[in-house]
Amino acid sequence: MNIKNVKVMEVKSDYAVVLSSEGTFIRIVLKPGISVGDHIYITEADVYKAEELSISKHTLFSKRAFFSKRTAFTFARMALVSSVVLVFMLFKALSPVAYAVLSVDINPSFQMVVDAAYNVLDVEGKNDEARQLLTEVEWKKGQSATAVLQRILEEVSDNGYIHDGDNHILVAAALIDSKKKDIEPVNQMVESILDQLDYQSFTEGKLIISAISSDHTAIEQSLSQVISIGTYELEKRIAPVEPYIEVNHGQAKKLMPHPIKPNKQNQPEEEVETSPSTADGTDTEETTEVTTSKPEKPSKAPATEEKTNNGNGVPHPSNNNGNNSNNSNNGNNGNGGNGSNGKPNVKPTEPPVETDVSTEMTDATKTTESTVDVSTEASTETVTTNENKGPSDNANENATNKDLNKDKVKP
Amino acid sequence: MDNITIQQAQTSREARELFIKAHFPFIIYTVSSVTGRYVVVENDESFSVALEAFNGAIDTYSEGVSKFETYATTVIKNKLIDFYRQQKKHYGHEPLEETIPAPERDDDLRIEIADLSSKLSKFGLSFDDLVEVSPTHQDTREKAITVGIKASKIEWIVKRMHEILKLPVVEVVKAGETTRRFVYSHKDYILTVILVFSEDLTRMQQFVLDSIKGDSHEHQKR
Repeated sequence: MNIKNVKVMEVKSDYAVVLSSEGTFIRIVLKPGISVGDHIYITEADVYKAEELSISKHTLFSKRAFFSKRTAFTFARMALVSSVVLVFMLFKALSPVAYAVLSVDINPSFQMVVDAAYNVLDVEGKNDEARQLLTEVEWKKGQSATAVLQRILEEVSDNGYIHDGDNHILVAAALIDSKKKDIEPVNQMVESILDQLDYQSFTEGKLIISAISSDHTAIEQSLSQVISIGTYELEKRIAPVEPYIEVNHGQAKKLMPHPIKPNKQNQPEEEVETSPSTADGTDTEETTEVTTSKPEKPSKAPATEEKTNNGNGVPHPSNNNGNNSNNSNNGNNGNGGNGSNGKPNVKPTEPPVETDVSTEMTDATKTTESTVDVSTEASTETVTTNENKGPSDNANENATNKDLNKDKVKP
Repeated sequence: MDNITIQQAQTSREARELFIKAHFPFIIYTVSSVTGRYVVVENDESFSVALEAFNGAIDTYSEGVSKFETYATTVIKNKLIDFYRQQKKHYGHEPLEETIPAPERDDDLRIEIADLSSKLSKFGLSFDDLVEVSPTHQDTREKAITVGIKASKIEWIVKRMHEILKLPVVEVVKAGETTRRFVYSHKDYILTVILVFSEDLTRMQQFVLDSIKGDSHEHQKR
């Protein structure tokens, strides 16, 4: 048993405060005759334990206990805790809900989750380069997507991923709500975010930004495959996407009125399901996008081709078969790492299988026409598209066409 | 000291003294529980009576009956009751509590404590608050006291402290040759030490200084 000799400094209603010979202030229980200035001995048993006294000696609602400082503190704490919980619940109720996912593939591949006001809720790097760069990017939850993207692009540029030559950026966006099929809000979002970027701050060279829309499936897939939705879409798509903005020496020039062209996302889901192209996993939506984008091609083809071949490593589908051998400057291919390091291949380079494919596709389209209510215009476009397609695009189509031919034989 | 047995205490005078010293807390605890009061460090008659009773218990204790502490408790209790009875007889029919002579009050110390209390309140502090901020670790406490004493010697720090009504952390860090983190974590305690040593609170100063010395003595012993 230890004893301390202490001096009484203060006598309160419930306890006394003493200064021990060791220099510590201690609360002790009250005993008769105690007075300020007393030099007394105390034992461990004399140390005041607030809980014991306030609960056992005083009832909670006795006047003394209720108004004692310690009890008041307890109540204050309880009030504080409950108010914090309340505020938290309110905050949670009012907190922004994830609305869409936006991916930016330069070669570092970023993906951000935004709310309906296009404020960033989360940003993640989809490959090592992006993750490394993100450690340098300061962003806060709730910041506008434009501001965060601006900061990311500046950082990307500082690290040499955007150079003075031609640069390709692929922006993909998808609404989180799987029920929303309308492309308009996605288009609006991408347009709103991209239009506000200050391009001069991160590039002096040429910048080609393409945008594609994606869907809920892509979000899920991108999560499970650790790739961005843009990369996922590109891997899925047969043909490239048209560029939206071209930046020359910091001057942005829109190549299209809207970043994303309307495609079959607008169409009812049933069509997608019943379409023969769905059978082998090729999305109807994608085919439509390809077909709709093709008619504009003749006018834009030269520019696009030039952009395509710059070797910036913009993820692009179906070009892993050696088509790029024609292109001279593929320098940045090594930076890939997100699984799609091919180049955009807008124009076909080899036409040998063209005739067969086009014929087959024509038949296929006819079949599509007969089975599903696809507009005549769309089918004609498809034919045109197929004529322009290179062999690289044909792997999936051949499979599709086999199925289609089967359908064709049946009647 | 704790290893001295009752048998040794019964036979050797030196061993007995050490044995009694070792049992001081026990005697104080017994007195306090019998009287219901705290034992005053100086001139507490009850404690003297208990000490005498304890000494007698060493002589009269025979092994095998019960534990020595149990036996000594009974002896002390009986002696104290006898003492109170005598006091009662002496003072007639006065109530028991009043028959126990009140310990001498140290009026100087009381005045100093009241002075310190009012000064602390200017800084928004009370003795009660200091319970929470007192450094628990002995070395930390000693260091905080040393830093406070050093800072209290510098007039302009004390002046500044009274101006801003809080501890001038940066200045104290320099004066105490310590870290900002240390001063900041013990700012209220250091402020109190500065108040004690910058004012004319000699009794308090002595008590605080004794605490450092006492601790350092214990350190040396270890």
